[in-house]
Amino acid sequence: MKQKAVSMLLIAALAAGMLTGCGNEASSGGEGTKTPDSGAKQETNESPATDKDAETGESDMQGDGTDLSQLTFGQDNWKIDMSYDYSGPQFKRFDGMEFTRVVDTMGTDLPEGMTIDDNDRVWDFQLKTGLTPKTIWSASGEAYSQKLNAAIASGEIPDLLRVDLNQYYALVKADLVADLTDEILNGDHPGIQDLYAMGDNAALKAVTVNGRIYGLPQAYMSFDNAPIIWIRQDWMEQLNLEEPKTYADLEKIALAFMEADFDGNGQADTYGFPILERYSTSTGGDGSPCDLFLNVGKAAPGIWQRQEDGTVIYGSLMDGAKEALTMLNDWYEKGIIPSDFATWDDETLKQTIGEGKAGILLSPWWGGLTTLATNVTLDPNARWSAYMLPREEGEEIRSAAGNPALSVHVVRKGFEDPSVFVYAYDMLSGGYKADPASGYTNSLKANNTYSPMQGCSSPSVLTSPMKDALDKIFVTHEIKTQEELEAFVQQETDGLMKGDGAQFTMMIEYGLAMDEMVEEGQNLRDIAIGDLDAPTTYTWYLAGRIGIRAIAYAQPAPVSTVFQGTTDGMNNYGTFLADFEKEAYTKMIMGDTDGQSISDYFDAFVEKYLEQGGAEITQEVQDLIGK
Amino acid sequence: MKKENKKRIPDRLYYWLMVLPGAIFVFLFNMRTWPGILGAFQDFVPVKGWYGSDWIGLTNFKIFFRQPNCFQIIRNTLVLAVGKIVFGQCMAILFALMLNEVRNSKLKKTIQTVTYLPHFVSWVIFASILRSILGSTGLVEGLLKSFGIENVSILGTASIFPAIMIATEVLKEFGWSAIIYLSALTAIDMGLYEAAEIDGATRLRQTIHVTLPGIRHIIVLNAVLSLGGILNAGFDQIFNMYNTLVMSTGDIIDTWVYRQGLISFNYGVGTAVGLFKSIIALILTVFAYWAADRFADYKIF
Amino acid sequence: MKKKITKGHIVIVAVLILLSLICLYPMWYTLIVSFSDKAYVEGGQVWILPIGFNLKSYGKILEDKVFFNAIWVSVKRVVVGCSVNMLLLILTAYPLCLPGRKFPEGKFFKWFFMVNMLFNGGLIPSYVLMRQYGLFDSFWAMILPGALPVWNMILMMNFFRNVPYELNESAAMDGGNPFQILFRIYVPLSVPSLACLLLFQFVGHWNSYFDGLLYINDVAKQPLQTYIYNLSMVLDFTSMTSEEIISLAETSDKTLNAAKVVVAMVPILCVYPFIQKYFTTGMTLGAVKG
Repeated sequence: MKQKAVSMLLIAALAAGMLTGCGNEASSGGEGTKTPDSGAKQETNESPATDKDAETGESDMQGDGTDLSQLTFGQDNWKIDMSYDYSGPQFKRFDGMEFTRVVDTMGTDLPEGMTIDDNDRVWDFQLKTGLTPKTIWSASGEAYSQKLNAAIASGEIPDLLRVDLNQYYALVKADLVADLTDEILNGDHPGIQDLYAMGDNAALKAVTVNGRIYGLPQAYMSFDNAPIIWIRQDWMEQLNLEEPKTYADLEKIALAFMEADFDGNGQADTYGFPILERYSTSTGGDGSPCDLFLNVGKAAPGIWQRQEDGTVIYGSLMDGAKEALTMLNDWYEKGIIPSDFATWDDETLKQTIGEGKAGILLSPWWGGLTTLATNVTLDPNARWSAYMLPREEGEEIRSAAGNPALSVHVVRKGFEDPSVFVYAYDMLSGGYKADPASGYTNSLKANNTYSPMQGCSSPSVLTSPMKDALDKIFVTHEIKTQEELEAFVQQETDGLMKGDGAQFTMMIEYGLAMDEMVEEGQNLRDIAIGDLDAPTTYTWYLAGRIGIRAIAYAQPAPVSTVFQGTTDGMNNYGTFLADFEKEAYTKMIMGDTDGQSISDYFDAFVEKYLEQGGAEITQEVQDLIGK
Repeated sequence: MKKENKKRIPDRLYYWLMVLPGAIFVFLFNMRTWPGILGAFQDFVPVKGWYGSDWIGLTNFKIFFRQPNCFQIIRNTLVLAVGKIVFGQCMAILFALMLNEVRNSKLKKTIQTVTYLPHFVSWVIFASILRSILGSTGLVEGLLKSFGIENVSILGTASIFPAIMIATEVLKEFGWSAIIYLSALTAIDMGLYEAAEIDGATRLRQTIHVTLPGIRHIIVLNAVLSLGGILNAGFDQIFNMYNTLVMSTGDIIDTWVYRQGLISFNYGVGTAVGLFKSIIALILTVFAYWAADRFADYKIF
Repeated sequence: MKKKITKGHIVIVAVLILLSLICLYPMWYTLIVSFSDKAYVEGGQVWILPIGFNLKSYGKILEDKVFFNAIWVSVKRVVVGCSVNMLLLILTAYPLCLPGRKFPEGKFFKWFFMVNMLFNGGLIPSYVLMRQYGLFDSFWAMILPGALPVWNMILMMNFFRNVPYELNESAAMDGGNPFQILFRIYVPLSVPSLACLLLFQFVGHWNSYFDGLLYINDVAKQPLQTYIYNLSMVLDFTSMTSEEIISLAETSDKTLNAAKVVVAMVPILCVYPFIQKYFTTGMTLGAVKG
């Protein structure tokens, strides 16, 4: 349990970032759209269940402090920290108000004594918003999505629901969810307005249907799933190989690994560079070669890109893809890419890495905790380093920055007051200097999946405003403690953000502690910190230190889609085109091109793609987003 | 007195009483879902229901039939489904006949118990085992290599993919499918075997002339009922085993519908394809019913 | 006894044993995974015997109250479900197996059932209907929709047809009403077939998870297979944050899940021999066969 608590801390540090707004000029857009009547709106916008405090958004909550300080939450009687500043219309509580929800338990168990509606994630939520969730049902993974889809299709949804974009569009079409446009754009929610503005409102654009917004998108603008290149450090050392600086170097390392026969069984069974068929830049993830496409030839498979003349193009059709495909094909011919990679999946990849049959892996920064962990556990000598590579030395590195909007929180149409969730989202999106629960947030035991509004965090530490912080942590080592980080963040954001450094501490001080222990002569693989055993400590080091550092060093330019919606053409031809594209890409990598050169085959592919509906879809997208 | 009572109640009334409960349940829980079929012709919106949603004609069907490889998908589905039915039933019958020859009853029971076990292992687990064995580092390709056969990708070769799918499905299910035949075998009169033996018939001849005819009706019945699933090629299996390299022979209707669902959250297309499948199944079943009646003088039901 | 063991028999036994070994493997694999250490399983090293043998997974199961509760729900479901199924199956199959002249409407009902077997409105109308009937969160939601398994009813009908019709006639002459004829003549003469269909129903009820998933919201009322199905996880890079994916990878426990599959299979293994004896040992029905 402890281990999980520690790990959740670090996760929280990395994902539930700490900054919003932060003096970004673009944020004024959000403020500027506020209409004068928003104040008047507040007065009529009464929540029936609230009778104590914060009734009118304008009230100074500190003034009503006596009421607030009386409230307790959960079995441990959590209290609101009254030392925070609750002034400002965005702080509004809805004590006593109930709403229904459904929960994807994702196969995780609750700590002893907690239930689905009575656990520390819920108390934390109540502490911040006053709202009380009532769970209608819960399920896990595939079971959850099937149950949810049936519920959506039957028109029976809970008051609050977190869905993916596909489900979102279906819900909007089915007229089941409340219109939040005015509330989000013009309400008293500076936090989320700044948050969305930071990404040029891309997340809001992704969920705008016919000019209206029906949900709170989770803004996502980081390299969270960007596949960085992990290499077996101990193998490189054994072979006296230098660190790679370009893809050509990577090729040499892969070939050397294959030749070395580290398992000593005399068979050529080491894979150079295992990839999966995850070509899409929007997906990224384990085994995805998308960053290779972004850097070699600058195509962006799977996402929409704007060309210089303003027209949109589907990234898989960009001419530059030829170059990357030719390179991958060359690697395939040389045996660097496994001959049957197209039959591989996450499991195969994990097993291959686990068994020590490959020394190079594409995986996000957190791969150290997942895909690499098996190998780390099984092989006490395994050490990994991580890189992001340009095509030629000195060139800018491009990397997959993810879709603008991940999931969306929607409110059932007909719910008494949809605005409560916008207030809640604002409160939860983190980074406020007034966070009445931050004292508790760090020690939550239940999995995040039980949180009533999960994933409404601000963009992660890896996004632009934090680049400087990463530099100072990893490169110049100017920031070594939580206090230093907090000071830095406050300064950067003109005091708007306190920067919840306590979470971030894990990443800095933990990594530094390990670095010091290694300098003292300890074997990196033998270090155990706290309750974590030696291999587990190392997996955390891999993710929180090695993985993030690779991104900090590389300072990649983010690449993401310019259109995240869905069109009629996609509904009509999408399945065929997606299959067709994947098959063509795989065939080109395998050199199975009916005797044509890859370049010719690619041209034929593009032509057929456009013919079979691709052109129609492109036109639709162009019309939707304009020139 | 009692006897007279019974005379008064005609047998037909009893029959009605017997059939009705079942029929009512089927009506309440199956037939009443039929309005949902209308969704195949609609742009279905839950709040409007099946009587209020917009009618869009055959658009949902067109989405499937207009795509360039739809006939390939139908063909794959048919090949896989027919292969599974034919080979699956043959293997089950053969297995039942073979097991019938085993005289040690402990061995017989053990074999039967063991062979029916895989039926209970889900395809997710079964497929991951198969992938490990048949994959590039697996046992089988290692064996092939030692015979000098290199560069074969068992799961990545389109031409053999259907065969692999049929074989693995048969392997997983034959023990289970054989149960019905084993049960039917017990109904065969042992006297017939004795008579055949006296006539000097070998065991093989006995099998052909006594055993097979004895379970003939079950074979025919199973075959006809299977036609209802002629366009169900086994989603769970294919979904867990297929990959880009074998799409040309491995993609089936159900996997297509699944992928379509990922792209657009559309109930209409799924309903339309389901209706299409049901109609084909109905036509085939009626045909089989008629053919069995006409040519084999056998009424299936 | 009187027959000697021939070469043919040896070959047959050899083939059968080989098949058995192949069939045993997936189950064996699940078993050894449940006893192994998680890391070795994920590293693809567990194949023949458990590596890092431990009983932790089974220990965890013992602590899991929900799991045992789910077993209890499943047991109830199997008992009630099979009873309802078998009763309706027998009742419906009998009139339909009779010649047309005895029950002219039989033909209509046969096609009615057949068409209903082939045509279904799909998941959403069923969902709406169950809501309408107020069966959500009710035990009966898992029993009533499949109360009459049509496919098996048709099988039963054909088995009943093997019972010589003369017996029916002579019983009717003796004054037996159709209920008496069915339960005194047809049912006793069809024991192996009934055992076979009972097994099908048993396994059907034991294995089904989807109705429990869709219609039962209360976890305490869900059957075992729904519980097991709920262990599945989906890693979706497009709609999940790293936070979620990591926490998933952390909790993913193949060995525990394998142990749950193993435990869930135990009842099937226990019940099988009791049913099996009806159709592995030949029954002589010579007197009956026409």
